[in-house]
Amino acid sequence: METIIQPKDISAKLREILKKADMNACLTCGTCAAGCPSSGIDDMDPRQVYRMLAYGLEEEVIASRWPWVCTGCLRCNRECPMGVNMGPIQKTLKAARARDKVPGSLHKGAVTCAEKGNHIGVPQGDYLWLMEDGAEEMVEEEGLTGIKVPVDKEGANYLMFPNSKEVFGEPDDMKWWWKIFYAAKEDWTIPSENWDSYNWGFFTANDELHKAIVKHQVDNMNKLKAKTMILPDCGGGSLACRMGIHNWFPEALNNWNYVYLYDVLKKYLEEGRIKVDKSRHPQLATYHDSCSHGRKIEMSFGRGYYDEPRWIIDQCCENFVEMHPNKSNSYCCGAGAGMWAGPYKDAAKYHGRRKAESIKNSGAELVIVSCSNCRDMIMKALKPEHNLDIEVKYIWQVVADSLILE
Amino acid sequence: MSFELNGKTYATDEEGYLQNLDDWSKDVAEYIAGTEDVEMTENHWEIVNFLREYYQEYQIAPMIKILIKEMKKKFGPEKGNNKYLYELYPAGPAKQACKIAGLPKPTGCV
Repeated sequence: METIIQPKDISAKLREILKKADMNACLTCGTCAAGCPSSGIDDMDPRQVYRMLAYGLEEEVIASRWPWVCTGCLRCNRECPMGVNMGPIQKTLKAARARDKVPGSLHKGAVTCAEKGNHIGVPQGDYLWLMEDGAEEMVEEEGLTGIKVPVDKEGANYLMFPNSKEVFGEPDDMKWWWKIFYAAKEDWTIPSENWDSYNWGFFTANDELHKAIVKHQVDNMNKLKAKTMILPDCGGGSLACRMGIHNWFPEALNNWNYVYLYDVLKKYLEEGRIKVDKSRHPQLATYHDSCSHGRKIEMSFGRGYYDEPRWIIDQCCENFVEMHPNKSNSYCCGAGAGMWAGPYKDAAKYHGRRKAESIKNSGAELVIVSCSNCRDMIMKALKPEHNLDIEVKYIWQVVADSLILE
Repeated sequence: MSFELNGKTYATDEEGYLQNLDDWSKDVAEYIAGTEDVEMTENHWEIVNFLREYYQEYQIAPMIKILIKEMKKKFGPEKGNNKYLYELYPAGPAKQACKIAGLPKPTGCV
């Protein structure tokens, strides 16, 4: 006997979201599924997930891995010919998961950050020692006389948030920015507490923790009377912070503003505050567009940073080639939305295979990135997985390595 | 998730980190090292032992810079440096050595 499946009711909350997402407009054309590099994971794809929801299979979707193997790259959203807004649907599905069922340690990290000011729980004394020690090393090893990492300096031009990944495990990676600030004679600072740059509250669709972490960042700006915030790394961290400021703390922008890392680097180069030697990078270079610095902010704030990184790279590299697709059509590396830190490494690598193809096809020897999780995904996961013969550098690393110090 | 060793079941997280610090033993460490393609030598044990002692005292894994500083103090500069640690634990001491030492995975994008 044939089984007839009857549509079920879905929760009022999801129904509201679906109304806004205009699921009735879905033509089931499959453009989202074809364009999503995660299609095929657990035999699912975006269209299937959304049709399941339309059919009332809400609990099944929430219990599935799908909301958590989505890197939030929003290519599906960008390409949908009918404008179905898929981002909020994914967020609602993640938020509906019980917190003790959030994959890996993502929830624990967000709670730790809200309580202790950084995701890992690095004690303040260790953090302050690290900054002082790192600067001393740069004096001794690189001869950068007088270089310092100013902590809690009031009224600085720029406030920057260290990334707890670097503080904990890759401290030398912080030095490129320090060196650039030193060369530009910048008046900058970092906070002594609640300093972490990324936001797992955002990754886990937990508004309360997302807001608590952005509040740390806003409070630091206010307390230290800093003039400009450099939106924190990673890409997701910058988007979480920017969205959080506009959603919850818009009045803060009466006293200060924020910029992206590209704005800082470009300004220094344009104004001649730093000088660079492009012959230090003769190899063929390409650029990976982080979704959160490109497509996603183009969709939510009206403009993506596409031209600025390319202009900066042109000052520092002799040979450049685009990878395809690029800019707003760029493939995600696979690390987005907490996938780098989360437990589903195989799904992240599967998603990233498209990026690996783009890189390979470009023929580039140097892949330049602007997000710490994109960097790790490409350098530590995709490179060995796909035997990519490449070097991976941050755009600020490229600038720092090109600096002519007087 | 879990694994079995010598007739006993050990609970782990989704990435194979032990759930209970007290479940750890040298055999368990050898087993986890095997899943990471790491062959434990005296040099590997020095780091794992240090991490466990440090965790027991401070309830947190040390920053790599502290690990390096302490290794330098205890075993000299040839063992107290980044390169040496990555040679022993190619996936990064923060993740790999902590895992073998039975510590929880650091809650960061490490």
